[in-house]
Amino acid sequence: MKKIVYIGFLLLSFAVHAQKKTYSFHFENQSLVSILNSIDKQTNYQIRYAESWFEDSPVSVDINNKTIQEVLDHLFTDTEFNYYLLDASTIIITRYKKIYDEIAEGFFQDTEIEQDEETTPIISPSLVDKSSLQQTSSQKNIIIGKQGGSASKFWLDISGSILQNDTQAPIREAVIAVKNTSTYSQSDDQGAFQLRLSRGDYVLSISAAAYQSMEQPITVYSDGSIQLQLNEAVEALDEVVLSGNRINQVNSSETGAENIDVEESKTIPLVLGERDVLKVAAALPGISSAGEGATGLNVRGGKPDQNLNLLDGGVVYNPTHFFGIFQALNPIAIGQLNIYKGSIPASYGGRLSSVFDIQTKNADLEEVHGELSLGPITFNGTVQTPINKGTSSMLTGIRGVYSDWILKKLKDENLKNNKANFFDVVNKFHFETENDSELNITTYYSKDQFNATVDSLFSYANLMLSAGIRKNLKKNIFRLNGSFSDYRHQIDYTGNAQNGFIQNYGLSQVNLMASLSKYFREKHRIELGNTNTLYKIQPGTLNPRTELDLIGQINLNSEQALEGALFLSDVWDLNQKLQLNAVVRIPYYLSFGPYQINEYDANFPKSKSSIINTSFVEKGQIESSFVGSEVRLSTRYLLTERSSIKIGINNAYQFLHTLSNNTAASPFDSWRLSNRYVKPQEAQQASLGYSFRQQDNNFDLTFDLYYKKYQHLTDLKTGANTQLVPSIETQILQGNGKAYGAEMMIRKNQGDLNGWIAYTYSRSMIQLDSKFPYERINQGQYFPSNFDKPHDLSVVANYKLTRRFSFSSNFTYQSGRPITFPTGKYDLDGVTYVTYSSRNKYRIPNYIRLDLGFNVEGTHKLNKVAHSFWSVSIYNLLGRNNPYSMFFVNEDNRIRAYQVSIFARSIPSISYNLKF
Amino acid sequence: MKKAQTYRWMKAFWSLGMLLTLFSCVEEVNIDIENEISSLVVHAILTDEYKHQEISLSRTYAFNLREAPVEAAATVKVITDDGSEFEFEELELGTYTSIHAFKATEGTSYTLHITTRDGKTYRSEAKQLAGSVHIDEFNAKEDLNEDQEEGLSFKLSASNSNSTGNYYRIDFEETYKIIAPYWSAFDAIIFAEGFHTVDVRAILRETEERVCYGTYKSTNINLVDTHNYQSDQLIEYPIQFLRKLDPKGMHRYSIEVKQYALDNETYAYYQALKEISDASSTVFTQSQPGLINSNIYSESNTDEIVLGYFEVSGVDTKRIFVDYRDFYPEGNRPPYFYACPTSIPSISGRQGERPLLEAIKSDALIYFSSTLPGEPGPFVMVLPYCGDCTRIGSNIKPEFWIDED
Repeated sequence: MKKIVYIGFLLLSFAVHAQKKTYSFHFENQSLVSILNSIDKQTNYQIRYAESWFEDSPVSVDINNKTIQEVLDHLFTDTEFNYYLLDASTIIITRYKKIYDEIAEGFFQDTEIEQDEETTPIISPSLVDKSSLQQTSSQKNIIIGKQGGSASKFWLDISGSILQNDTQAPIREAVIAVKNTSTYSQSDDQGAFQLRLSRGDYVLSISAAAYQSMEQPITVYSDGSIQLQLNEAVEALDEVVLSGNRINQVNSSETGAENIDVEESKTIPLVLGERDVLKVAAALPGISSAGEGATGLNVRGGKPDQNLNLLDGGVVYNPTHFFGIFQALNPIAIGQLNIYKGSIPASYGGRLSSVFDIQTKNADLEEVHGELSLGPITFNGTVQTPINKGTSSMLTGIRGVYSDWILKKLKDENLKNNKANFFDVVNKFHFETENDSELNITTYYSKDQFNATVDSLFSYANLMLSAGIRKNLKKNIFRLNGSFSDYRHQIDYTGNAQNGFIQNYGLSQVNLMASLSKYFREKHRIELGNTNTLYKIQPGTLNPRTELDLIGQINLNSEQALEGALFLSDVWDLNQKLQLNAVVRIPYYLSFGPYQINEYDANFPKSKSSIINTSFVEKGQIESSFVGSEVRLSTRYLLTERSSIKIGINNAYQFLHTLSNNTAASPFDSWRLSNRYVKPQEAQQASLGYSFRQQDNNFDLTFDLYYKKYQHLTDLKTGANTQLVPSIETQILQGNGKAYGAEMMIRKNQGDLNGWIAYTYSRSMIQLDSKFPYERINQGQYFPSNFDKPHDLSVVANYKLTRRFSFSSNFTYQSGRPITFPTGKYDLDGVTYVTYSSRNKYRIPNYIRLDLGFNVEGTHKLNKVAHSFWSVSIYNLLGRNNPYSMFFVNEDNRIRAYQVSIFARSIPSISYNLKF
Repeated sequence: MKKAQTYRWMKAFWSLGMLLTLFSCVEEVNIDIENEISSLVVHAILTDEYKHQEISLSRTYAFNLREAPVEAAATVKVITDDGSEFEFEELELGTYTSIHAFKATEGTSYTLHITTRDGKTYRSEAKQLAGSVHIDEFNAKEDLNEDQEEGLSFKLSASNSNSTGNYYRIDFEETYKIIAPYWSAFDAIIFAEGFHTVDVRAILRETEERVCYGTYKSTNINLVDTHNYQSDQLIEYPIQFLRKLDPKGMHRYSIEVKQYALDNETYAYYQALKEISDASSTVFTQSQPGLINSNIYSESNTDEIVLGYFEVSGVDTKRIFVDYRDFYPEGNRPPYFYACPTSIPSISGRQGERPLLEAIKSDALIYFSSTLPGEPGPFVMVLPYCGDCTRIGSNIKPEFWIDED
């Protein structure tokens, strides 16, 4: 075997003139190797090549009286091979590279080549920059295209894909940076990416969350493709992988986007042995929770109902169990969570604050995997099974509580005598084809049941089904998603004789979304689509529990509406530094009958007593309609290779409103639809961001400023009913709001000590004014909303002691949220009542909490069947009584203030995880 | 070395992990409240009862004060949409009574106008009579309460014909006869007290102190919404439970129930008042407290806060009397409100340290009887509320009181 080692360049100028001898060859269906062998034998040329280059496909050759050059030209035209006549007796076959024996024109010219010209007719040979090669790792150089190929093009298009080394699963959101240039790309869901480079040698730096970064030297000759494989980060279990949006933060034009890799949540200290991505989310800037016991998250000072919670594209109305203490999403089954606070992707809408886009893992296509987690209260089992190896697989997760006895340990009298249980199941079917088209079907169900008092049983349940098809049509991607979501709650009240009842609420929605995206002129990525959601809400039924109960039936009229949007988005690379992400949406909304609508006396506040007429909208007839326009613009400008600024503006509409008489969201909130009186809530936001990362990605920093304005924010009148309300316009007030803030985050990504510090200063205000004094709150002036928490500091730090032992810690400081204090008393008909300050004039004490976690991994033996680890954590290590809320009681003619803390001391817990 | 340390750590965490304790807590905290401006408080219910209607005005006050300051010397009148004016006069400080008796009638709008002493003017939104009430029956039945104690349950039945239902507020007032068990016709009076001499005598009491009448007015806001009911009807709706052993039922007991028909807004007002004044509740539910919007506002300064409400409501009342022996002919009557130990304090001692005299002076004990000559004494004394019913009730017999059925 004649092996060709490496042919350097600059083998120039000594031209060898071959003899003009001619040859004739006849080969019938022979392999190139045997043809070359024959030529080798029949001529006095020695041909040097590597046998492994050539495929076995048979070739037929019929050549008469041709020179050796003509023979070789004939053989190698339109292949990736070139040849070189080294001397009178040696022929060297090269792959990709062409050996020049004279310097091409322009080789020594210093003149800059104009970059825009697509077809500059310059042929410059590649030169290896030795210094850049030395910087690279031991990775072998990869050659793309063939030298001398599409010679007339200056810009070459390289498409590539990034795969996981062992499973060959695509890796999304990997960042591919070309070293010493400002060229970047990011892999999509299929792991695919695009780069435009001129001819030459480069080093690609590839990084992705939870994977080992790599550097890959490449040589580019012509358009071509490349496949890269990353190894999973070995220490992923005990080391925080914070790289999710590491370079992305600099490079993406999305403003206010956060990515949480679930690996990240593994190392945040646990609460009662449960991993919780939503708690990790609350440690990010601009996102806060009202504290333990609150269902919702507040994003940039918004209400919890302004967040859209998506699981594989389907809406989950209440993603928490047991009043928010546990997330209702199986932590093992979740692959990742993307949070959009600003640049919401075009296909999503209908909420003012944010989108929490949660994706479950695709089950492994090759092998069965399982993970079992045992905590002090919950158990969790998840299994990944291939169905058809290499193409389809199934992920199934089941989670639940052991029993009620643990909750009996709660010291709070209200909880002690009660039972509480919950469970959730998730199943995902995944199917993919070779060209990266895929089909996913997800089913999700969660249910909670508990007693709040001895004679009442509360329950609520989420059901979600979603199916998504994604099809790659050459450069276009077609997506079709359908989902069904259902949320319902029930109160079963035994009560005293004669007043027992069962009360139900239910919401269902069906959504269908279709879009087509296309790479256009290499600078645009355009997506065009349409999404439609059909809602049906049963706002309340009340039935007597038994025949003896006196309570009469209530059956509120159902509400139904269609919400949809046409959308068009474009990610436009204006030049290498400036990227524009533009979304235009036309949201529309129709509510229709059967529906009963009241007409009110305009001289009075809308109430039961001001109804002057009630009419009935027939089935299918339109009750109210709305068409709006939404624009979401964001731009990124790269200041340097490692820093960028981003500017974004966007507006949004929301047609769903919750009626909640609790300052923190509760699972028994009723979602209701807009009608002709209840206007859609509106928000406009402007934001400015700056991102910087250190050269080796060790540190990065982001800084964001935002200002938001709201119209028609809904809030309740004082003393309003929230349950069984026939016409919500009689219970709510709508007003203006504004919110603004500065968010800052510094992350240290690598090393034994890593983590982040996030600080947010923000304000959130609301104004409830009316022409009726009776409906004014705080004299119609702006006042702090329930979610106005100016200072919010989170510190997450992890320290790796050894490969097997690591610490994690989490510190949170938040300003106390606003509250209304009692300020005095008054007498009315012989009874003393309390009078209050203007709304939200005072604040509850600040919230401070420190958690500590300690992880112990099983041994790192290779080929071990199962991998296990223990997590020990202490929640609220300082034992601080953080107030969840305050209330006031009139005792002995004195007002006493009490604060309620849910976790009033440190809570240790331990959990065991087993993975195979 | 490093490894050994981590194992020690682990052990410590293990034992902690086994002790899973989870708890929430409720604790009292101090709050710092700035002084807020005192506001006008209006209590005004016009009813469809023909009478001298009453409106009272007071002001809000700080937590450490005992009594509400009244708003005296104001001008109060009610004006109707047909131009009639009803003027009110201040018969008691802060309480204004209509000069002429009148009743609210259906189809008329009433507006309350107030001018305070400092010249500020206030007016209410126009209100119409919300509806009428007819109580069919109000009676007492032997029953058991939630704690399985014997007693009388007072239940109300009212049928009205509003097909869509109605809003009601129900309150009641109890009045009960008190007979002081250690009453005596005499009082112990110190005539003279010197270094060596003491003159203490029992003289006839000048006021009625044996039979009194106690009252208790319900403080809970009891609201009923019959829109949820099968008909606009209350059937045997429980109002009050009187335990068999309740001292209020010892002799003769009376209860008057008042049922008001409210309009939606008045109902919402009371509901808000009820919701925020109920000592709340579970860890997870808390209602939004705040100023309850009044339908009365200042004409001079629309930002000024006014508390209270002007309502025009239909009303019906029913009173019943029960005698203990009507229901329980046998057995002991309930015990008195207080335990009544008697004592015979010594009259002797140094000046200022004679127990009997000190007890009389400080009103710690009152006269019950005299001891027999030769026994210690001279007086058997008892706690004041055991021998003088005016300490816990009024000795004026209410006008409505009927002693026999």
